[in-house]
Amino acid sequence: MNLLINAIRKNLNYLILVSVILLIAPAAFMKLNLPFPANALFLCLMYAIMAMAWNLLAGYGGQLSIGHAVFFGVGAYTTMILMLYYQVTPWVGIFVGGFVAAITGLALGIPLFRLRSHWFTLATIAVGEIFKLVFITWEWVGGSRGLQPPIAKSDWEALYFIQYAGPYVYVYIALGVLALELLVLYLVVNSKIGFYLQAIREDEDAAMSLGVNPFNYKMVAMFISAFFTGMGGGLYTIRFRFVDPFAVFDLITISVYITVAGIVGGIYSFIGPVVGSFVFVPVSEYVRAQIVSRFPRFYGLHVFVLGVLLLIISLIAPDGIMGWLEKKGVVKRRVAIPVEEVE
Amino acid sequence: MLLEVKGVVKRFGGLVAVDDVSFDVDKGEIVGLIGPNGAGKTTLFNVISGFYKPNKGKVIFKGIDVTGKRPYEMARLGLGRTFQIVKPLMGLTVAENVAIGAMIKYPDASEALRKALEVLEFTGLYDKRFALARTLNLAEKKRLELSRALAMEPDLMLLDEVIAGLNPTEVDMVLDLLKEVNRKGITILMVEHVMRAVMNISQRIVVLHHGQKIAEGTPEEVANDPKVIEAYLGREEL
Repeated sequence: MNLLINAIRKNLNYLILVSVILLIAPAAFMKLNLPFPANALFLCLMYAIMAMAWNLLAGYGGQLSIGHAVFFGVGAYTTMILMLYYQVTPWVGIFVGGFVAAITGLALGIPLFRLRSHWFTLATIAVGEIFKLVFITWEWVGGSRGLQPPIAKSDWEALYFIQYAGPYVYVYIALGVLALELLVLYLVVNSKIGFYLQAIREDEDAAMSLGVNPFNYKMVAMFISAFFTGMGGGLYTIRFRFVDPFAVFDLITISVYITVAGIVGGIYSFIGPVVGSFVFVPVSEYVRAQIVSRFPRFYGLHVFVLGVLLLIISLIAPDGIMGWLEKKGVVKRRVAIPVEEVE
Repeated sequence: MLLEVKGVVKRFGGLVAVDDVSFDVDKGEIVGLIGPNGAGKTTLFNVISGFYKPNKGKVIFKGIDVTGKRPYEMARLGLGRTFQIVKPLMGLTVAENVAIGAMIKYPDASEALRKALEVLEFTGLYDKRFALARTLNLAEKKRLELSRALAMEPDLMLLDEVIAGLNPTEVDMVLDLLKEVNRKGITILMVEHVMRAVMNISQRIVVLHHGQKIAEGTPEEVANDPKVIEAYLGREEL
């Protein structure tokens, strides 16, 4: 707790500045009737939530997953099914979605963590595709047609089912989720769990000799990572009000995008994945909305642009934007310092 | 008896790396484990610390049968070790490396960090505390491994060639350090190639050759043992 208070105090100016901008922006967009940037902001936040969650497992724990669409999809479907079949409000459903995703993560972790390095990565891709196929053929959840929630008929129902026009309200909800996540992850990363995960990433044998049970800590990371990725799925459900297996279990636009956002921002930095999402998503959205939709024969151009962006980043800043800023001395590399030495 | 190794056999396919080796280590001792290259010293270390399961035999630590226990379980029981080929956590700082070792006894991160700095002051790496482990030279990396194991506050430390590759000044520094560690009540079992060092510091020496124990005794006894001389220098042809 001291650590958290210290960190907040040290970065207070930035925190206030960023919070004020983020709190004012959606309201300003609404006033000026600018749904496009508001929607882009929502997507930035959604991907930031997921990339941060992914980074606990991939960046801190060194377990590179390209299958996080599984948790996104499970979270999205859970929120949707609760709303549609059981009239459970997504205010609760989003959290339940995160929890179901986290349990899914634990179940998958048992076989997946028997594999190391690239074998683990390949298996996560396979699991993602398997989930897509299962949901396509599973009639109870709508099969390949997907699911749509009931339409709210009153103001009260709009609040209950979180159905509002435009992206504006959802930006605030996503901000809340991201804030909660940053708080939880900051505490986790600076605790024994965070250090043990990094030890596992650097050298599993050395970690074991220091008393770390790698499997247990990978499972802890998986649980937290899947939880917040699942909440990202819940946000998707309330924002877009339509869930289908092709969209939510997509290898490229979910699993790979999360990974790229993390890598572009910098996986060895706490806030890197957020930075990555705020660079990567607007570029993608701009190209998709402004160029691809006007010139349909360039379909897929936004993915191509992202590929080029990733290539450039890997060449000039292999540690991501935050790693590059650290090298340039713009930001300081975070190292563990005892509280007494902070001043 | 702190550690008892009883008839341990470890085979890799057809190769018998450790062949029916037994010896004890008493609390408070410094025991040297020597032998020519390929004698099975590191394999035996890996069996004791839980990285390998022996094909036969038993390892008893603090009176508990720990045969086949996993490395992290051994660590929690009070066994610290270093690696012959050093394994620092390269992307982390020196202080973070050592703090991770300390977390086994001090789960609170800032307490572990405080403990780590204490250990680093003791081992002489304090000035490097915020350096990334990958920027250290070999001597410093070895000292880092030692610091990390020390931070675990173990009962027994297995040191796998912490001296090999150091220059004479550094050797003396590490030897003094080990004596100091031992005085604090930590038992040491060390594999070492540098004879001068092992002979100087060990109270007792176990000699392995081709996976078998060929001698055991004080440094003088072992140094004059014809079987040991033969293993190191070869048989005199008549």
